[in-house]
Amino acid sequence: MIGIMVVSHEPLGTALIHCTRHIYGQLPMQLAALDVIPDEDPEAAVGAAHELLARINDGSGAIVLTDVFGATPSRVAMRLAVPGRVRVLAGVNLPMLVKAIANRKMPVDDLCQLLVDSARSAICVADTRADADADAVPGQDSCTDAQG
Amino acid sequence: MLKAEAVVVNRLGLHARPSARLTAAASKFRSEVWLSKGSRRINAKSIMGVMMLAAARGSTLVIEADGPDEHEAMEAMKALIAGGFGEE
Repeated sequence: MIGIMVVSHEPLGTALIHCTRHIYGQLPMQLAALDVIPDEDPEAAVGAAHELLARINDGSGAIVLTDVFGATPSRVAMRLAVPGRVRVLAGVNLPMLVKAIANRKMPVDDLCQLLVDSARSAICVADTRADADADAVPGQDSCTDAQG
Repeated sequence: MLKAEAVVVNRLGLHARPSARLTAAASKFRSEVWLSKGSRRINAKSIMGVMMLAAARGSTLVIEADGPDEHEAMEAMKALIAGGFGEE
């Protein structure tokens, strides 16, 4: 089963993984968060990230989700990348995390692409869907199905 | 291919937790399972698809099941929705 780790600005990662308790009733397995503290030594964070990753990776590979591409947590996260084994995605949100938890038995590269597509389609103008029975307003970027 | 309607009965509707339960239940079957609400049709094995139906209490869902175990899949979906996903 693919391990999932969120590496983000403190306290986003911890908060996000705790949100999944609401959905699954308990914390899903092989899921962890590393909150990067302001002014933390990035090298220390990289060490902690490698250690945490080893604990949630059973050999099936892992997905590392980070928040803002280019910020310190993302640079820590990118140091964890191993082609075909550990992939790093920026722009983490709760839909992306939930999608990852629901699809942990596929090749890591495939999950990576699924998450990019799914998380994008989960970002939408929600108020055009107040009556979700009505057709989406033409020309509006409203919520569409996230397949897979 | 089987097709049936079901009404969401639990107070909070098809929110996050029931969506997780529904997709887990649908994923146990080899058949394809689809849910529709209005003009929106989604794969019942896709958690974000199910959640984005935004089906509140009283919504009518159309269930479609197609495959070798479609009868079992249909019964499981109907029971789960009619039972309010185990919620009040």
